[in-house]
Amino acid sequence: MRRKRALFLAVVSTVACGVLLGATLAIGWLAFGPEDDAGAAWLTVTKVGESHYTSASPTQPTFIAIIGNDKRSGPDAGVSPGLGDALHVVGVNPVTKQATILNFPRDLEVEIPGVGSDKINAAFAYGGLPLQVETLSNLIGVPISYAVTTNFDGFINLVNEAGGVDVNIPKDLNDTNSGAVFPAGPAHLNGDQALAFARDRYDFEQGDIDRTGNQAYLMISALAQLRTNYIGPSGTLRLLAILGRNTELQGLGLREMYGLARLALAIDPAAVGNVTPPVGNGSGSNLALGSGSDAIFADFRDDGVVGAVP
Amino acid sequence: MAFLAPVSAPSTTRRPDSRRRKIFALTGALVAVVVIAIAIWAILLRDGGGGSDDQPGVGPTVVQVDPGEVVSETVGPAAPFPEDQRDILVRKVRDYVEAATIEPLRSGRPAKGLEPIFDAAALTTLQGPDGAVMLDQGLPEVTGKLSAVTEPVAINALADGTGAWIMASARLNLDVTGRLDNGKLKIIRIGELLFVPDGGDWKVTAFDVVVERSGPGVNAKKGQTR
Repeated sequence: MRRKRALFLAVVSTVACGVLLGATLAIGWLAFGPEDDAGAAWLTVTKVGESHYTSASPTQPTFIAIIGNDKRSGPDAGVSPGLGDALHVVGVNPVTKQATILNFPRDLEVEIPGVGSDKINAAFAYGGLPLQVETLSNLIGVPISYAVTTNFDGFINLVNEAGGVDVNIPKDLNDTNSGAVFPAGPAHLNGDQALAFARDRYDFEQGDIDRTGNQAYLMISALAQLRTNYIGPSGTLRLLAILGRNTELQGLGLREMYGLARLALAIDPAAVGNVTPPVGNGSGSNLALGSGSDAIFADFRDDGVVGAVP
Repeated sequence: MAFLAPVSAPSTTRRPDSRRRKIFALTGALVAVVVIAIAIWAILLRDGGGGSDDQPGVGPTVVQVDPGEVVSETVGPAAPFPEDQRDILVRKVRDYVEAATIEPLRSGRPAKGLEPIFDAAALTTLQGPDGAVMLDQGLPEVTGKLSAVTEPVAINALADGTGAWIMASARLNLDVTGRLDNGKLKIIRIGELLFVPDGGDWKVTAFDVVVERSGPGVNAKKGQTR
């Protein structure tokens, strides 16, 4: 009898403990489980190569890939890494405080290492960020040290955090696909509007070629906004705190990010070139690099700047 | 009486001589006292009164560096920047003012003792053009009163996701006035010093500073760190 009661108590207490443990785990999961997409990082900054701009060598130009992919948040996100739909390589010259953004239309046909000839943005789908960076690096012939990636939601949040961007819309835009419906002239765009402007290709004669230039123009406008909002080292620390909460850093820490942020904020937007290499028609819907692009890449390689360096 | 007359005669002539000598001596002493008093008064007037660290042969030196507002930036949960850490930073700013400004201006020699204030990267930078902005060396020697006063030092500190304080900036708004033999030296230095932790201490690793100097014999009047 006593043995039966003891067995009964043991079973009851085991079940009770199990229920309690389960409840605790469930509460813990709800409270501290993975963040949903609303809390996802706006940006990912990845150190993809040796850093050439360091405190020990503060005069070396540095090259950074900026990649906007079309991966969406939410249940439709899927497992594909998406396509690198906005592709830019920024060269920064820390001595002259100049920079150049080289823009690459997504339909540009290039050699993708290990894959062969294909559209440049397909590299992201084939091999994610490493292959996209390698493709860009091989094409231009520069060592890329960092890659910054974002997606639609991250871009919107970034622009909103900066307080919007001031732009000059070059012409009346009325693209219902992207949502870019703006009259020509100066405008202050919030995150959603900036994304619409960055995606609009139907309103422009050269389609994607103009669009990639507009994306660089938005970056330059955002730089102007950031320089106004975050002045000096203390402002940079404030910006880093915001970025630190919303950026995934891979292979670098906040101290290295500080150096990069200071470098970027030291550059006058007027000293940033916005260059799209000449392209012509390629096979099918593909574009091909035009004559003169090699000279532009060579100019970019030596000091991170295309054009005159004083 | 006739016997006494020649004896008393010299005594009557000695008395006025002694009195005159005493008067001369008193007058001389009085003049010396007045001259010394005037000299002391002139020195005090020239240097504007007393100071904190009087040195023999030179005017007083006044250094004032007080703590100001502290802003805590955090990647993780909000937390205040500890007061003891703030005090270390403010002391470092004072050390910087002493080593980069006071000592070279007083001695006429290059700045020294910078190793406990700047890290290796910053020390390397100081070897280049930034050194002329950050250090007041090669300037005329200040012989009179020397005053270096900052606005209260505002601090912005950043903690990473683990709560560790990894960087802090200190606002520098320094006003230096020094009396030269032939005029007045004025230095205004404005900007920020960026500190990083260094083995329980903090050291300056970067800076963003502008300087403006004026006075006789001052060549590098304006400068800005790169």
